[in-house]
Amino acid sequence: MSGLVLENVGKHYGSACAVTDVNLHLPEGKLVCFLGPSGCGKTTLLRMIAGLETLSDGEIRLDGQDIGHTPAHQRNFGMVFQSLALFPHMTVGENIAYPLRLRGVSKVDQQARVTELLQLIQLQEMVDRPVAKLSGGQRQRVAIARAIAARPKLLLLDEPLSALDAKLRESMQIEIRQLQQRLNITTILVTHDQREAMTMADIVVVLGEHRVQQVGTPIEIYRNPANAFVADFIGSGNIFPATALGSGRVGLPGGAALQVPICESIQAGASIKLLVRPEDLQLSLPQASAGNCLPGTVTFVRDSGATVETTIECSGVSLTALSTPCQSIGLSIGNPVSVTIPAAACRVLTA
Amino acid sequence: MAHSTLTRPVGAAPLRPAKTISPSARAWLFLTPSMLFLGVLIAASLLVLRMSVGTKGAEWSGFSLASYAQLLEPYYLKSLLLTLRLALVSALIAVLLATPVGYCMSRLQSPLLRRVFLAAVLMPLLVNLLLQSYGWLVILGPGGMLNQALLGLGLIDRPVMLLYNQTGVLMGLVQTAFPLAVLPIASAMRGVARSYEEAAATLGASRLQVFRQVVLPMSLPGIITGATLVFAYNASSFVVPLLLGGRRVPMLAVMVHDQIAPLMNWPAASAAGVVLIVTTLAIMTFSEFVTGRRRRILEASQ
Amino acid sequence: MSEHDFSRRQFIKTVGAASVAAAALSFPFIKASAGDMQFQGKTLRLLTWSDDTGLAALRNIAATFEAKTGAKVIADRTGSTSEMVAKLKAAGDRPQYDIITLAGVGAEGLASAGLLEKPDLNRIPNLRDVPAQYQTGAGGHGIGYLLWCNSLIYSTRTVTEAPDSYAALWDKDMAPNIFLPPPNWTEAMDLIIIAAKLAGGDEHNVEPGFKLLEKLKDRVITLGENPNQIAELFRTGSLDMGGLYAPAFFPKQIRDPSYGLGATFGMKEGFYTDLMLSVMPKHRPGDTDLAYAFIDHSLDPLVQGKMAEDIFNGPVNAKAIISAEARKSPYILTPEQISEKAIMHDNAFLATVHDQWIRRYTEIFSS
Repeated sequence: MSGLVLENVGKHYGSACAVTDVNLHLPEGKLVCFLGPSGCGKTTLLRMIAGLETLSDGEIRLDGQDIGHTPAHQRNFGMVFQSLALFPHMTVGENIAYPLRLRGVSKVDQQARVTELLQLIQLQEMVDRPVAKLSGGQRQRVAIARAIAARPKLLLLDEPLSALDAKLRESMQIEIRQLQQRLNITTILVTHDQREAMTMADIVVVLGEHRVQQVGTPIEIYRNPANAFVADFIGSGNIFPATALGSGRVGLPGGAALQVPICESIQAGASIKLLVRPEDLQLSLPQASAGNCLPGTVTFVRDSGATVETTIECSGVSLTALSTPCQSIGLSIGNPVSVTIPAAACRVLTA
Repeated sequence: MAHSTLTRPVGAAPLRPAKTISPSARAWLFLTPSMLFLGVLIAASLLVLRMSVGTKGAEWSGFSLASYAQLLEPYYLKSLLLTLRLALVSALIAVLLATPVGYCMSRLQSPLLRRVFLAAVLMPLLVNLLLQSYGWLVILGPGGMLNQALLGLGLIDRPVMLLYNQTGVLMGLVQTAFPLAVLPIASAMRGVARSYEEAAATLGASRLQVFRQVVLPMSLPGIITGATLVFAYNASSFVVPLLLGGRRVPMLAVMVHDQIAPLMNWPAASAAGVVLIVTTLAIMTFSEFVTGRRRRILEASQ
Repeated sequence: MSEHDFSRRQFIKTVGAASVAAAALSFPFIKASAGDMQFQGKTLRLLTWSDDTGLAALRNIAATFEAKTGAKVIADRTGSTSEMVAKLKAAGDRPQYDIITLAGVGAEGLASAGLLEKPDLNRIPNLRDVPAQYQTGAGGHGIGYLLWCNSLIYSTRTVTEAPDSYAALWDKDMAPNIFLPPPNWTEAMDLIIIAAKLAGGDEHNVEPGFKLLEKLKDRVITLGENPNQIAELFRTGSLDMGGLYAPAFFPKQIRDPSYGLGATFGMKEGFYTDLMLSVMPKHRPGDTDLAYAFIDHSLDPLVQGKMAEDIFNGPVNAKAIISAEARKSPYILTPEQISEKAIMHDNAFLATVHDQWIRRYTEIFSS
């Protein structure tokens, strides 16, 4: 199989487990994002791929070749660190040329490649600057240029944008994504920022509790979370307990019933969890409850200008609905309201 | 301030009784004890300077540059050169030996191990030098363990003289000043974050290349500091040439001592001392000048 | 606070009494003059060397003086002669000491700085028994105290018979490995003169001496600055002979057979000696009669004999009492040996050549 394959990969420190039982296939030319809360093992996994950590279990293969125990400097992967780790004793040009110098590339070819890369990141005039004189975003680009200078088989990014302010981070996300697509280089990005993952990734690998929770495209992960962990971690969602009543109906704690997509594997009477995204809830002035339209009471309104978030107490559960200001019907705390929960928007999660 | 009413109701009592001492006065007050101490040291050096242009018997009232003229004689010039050469060579050796030790110390994970290492490195400072000189004697003396072993193995047929010559003094200089080299180097290397090494490794550098091309140049200021400290410390070394040189290695500080006891020639001793200080300072300044740019660049980025 | 002070004083008293008692036990002769407690309650402040000689002075001189007179001796044992000079010069006209014992060079330095009082020789009865050349030094500012005598030191293991000439130092079969004194010591000056004389010159024609010394260079292990190191080198068999060096540096090691350390004054050329002096600074803090009594006591024939036997110094008193047992030793000096063979330094002459000779000596033996 071409691309990067991880088989049963795990890492233990003594009895403490950092990550376990990882099976992944990363197709060529894609940007794969390892997404998860801190301490989930995503950085450990990346470091094992880079060769900076030894494997406790399993195998890593690249284009069919076992590289699990190849030293980092022989893997030919480019990596961008959270701290960027640009060498302060070298100029911008020397930093970028460093991997080429290590490979014995001639001075002329080094210079040509450096010029080419500086053009790519639009920092041509900075070639002789010491890295200390660069701005945050410029350093970011130099770090990427250095990582890809030797045309690595894999580009590894370990939370590279976390040190930047929000605005710069957003523009860098787009820049990196465009660069990756232009170069068509297989890339793994580690992040805890789901927005970053959604923006940049072809494939998202959600990690949690030391294992892979779900692998899929960003939309799959958002729309069809595989379990409560993913549902909770990705986006904001209303997750609440319910009881299966059979033939696609569920009962809420307060007694009301809802129609949801039929889920064959769930027996009537089983305890389940339901996910409904806030933007899928529709609020209206009180009306007779019918079907998936339930009465409720407003308990909190957060109007942030761009969106209005309304919290409603409804049949024993607290639901948050998200609407645009023009959709808003001007509710305030204590108002009665009707909530429509479209059946198609409900996801049944096994508890 | 115009905005004070926003944060404090008008007429409310200040949070603390107003201090009459200004912040800068307080800073000076804070510095006073150390300034007094340094002042005494500087005054002592100035007195030495004064004595160096005095005459024998009239150290405070006379004026003569004869003591400095005397230092131009080959006897003293040779001694000055020997002193600078031994200080320089000892600094180079100490730094060469201290670099791997400092690197090791900077990369030790366990705090306990690190402390044990530190204690081992500081040992020479903790053990009385006279005592250490007996240790050297027991190991390296003509009847010492090393010579016994070499004789026993038939590698030599006469004891090798490792003490009471320049070799012995050099070993002593390196050993006694070793912590001065290790500590700044270890501290500088601790400042080189692990991620730099890892970055270099992912870019294709072997461990040796990582050390030579990343760790060493990045900790260069610490290495230079270590070398400079050892140099300055050893240039004025007195006890080591006395105990391990068997009085046969005339470093300048020993000559200074000869001028005082038995010759009681304070001006000559002072002049030699002044020349030693000035030469050492000049060499330190030169090294700072040469490496200053790089140091500033590294400091700006850390 | 007062209670604390009281207990402290009490403690000092007790210790003082104990040491006097101990001294009285080991020195039965003081009973003869005991009972004459004329200086009861008075205090004498003494500055002396930090080495074994200084320590022996406390045992043999200060303790017996306290027992005899009832005075109290507070001794400060400070380093070397030059350190004492520095201390005295720093104190200027407010010295903390009544008596200082030090080498002639130091006394001359202090005398020329005008810090010393010229003692009245008539107030020191024991001086009658001291030969004229040992009575005073430093232009009459110092009273002879003891003779620092330089011997040849040898290994009793490799040198079977005590050498009878300084020429033994040049005999490489007899003594392959030797040590010499460090250049800044007076001993080195004496060695230069000895070498000059062996080569047919004298102190005014030393060039042949330096030539002769150059021949020793390859056999010189060290210029012994530190007596304990020297003793250690003998113990480990690294040295066969050396000098000039005073046996007074090794009172313990010479008595310990494991060092194999011997010393001799039996050279036919004689031996060099340096007169150590007691001096009295101007503006002393204590009683003048007491200071004279102390100097006189230090010249007592019994005390002088005791010092000679204890730490191998030469007595200045021609009537010093040396036991029959001690007279057999090659390194315990009798007044008779001193009058026959001791050679005094010409300090005034040495002062004129000191600087140059130190340089030559240093250059010859630099490794």
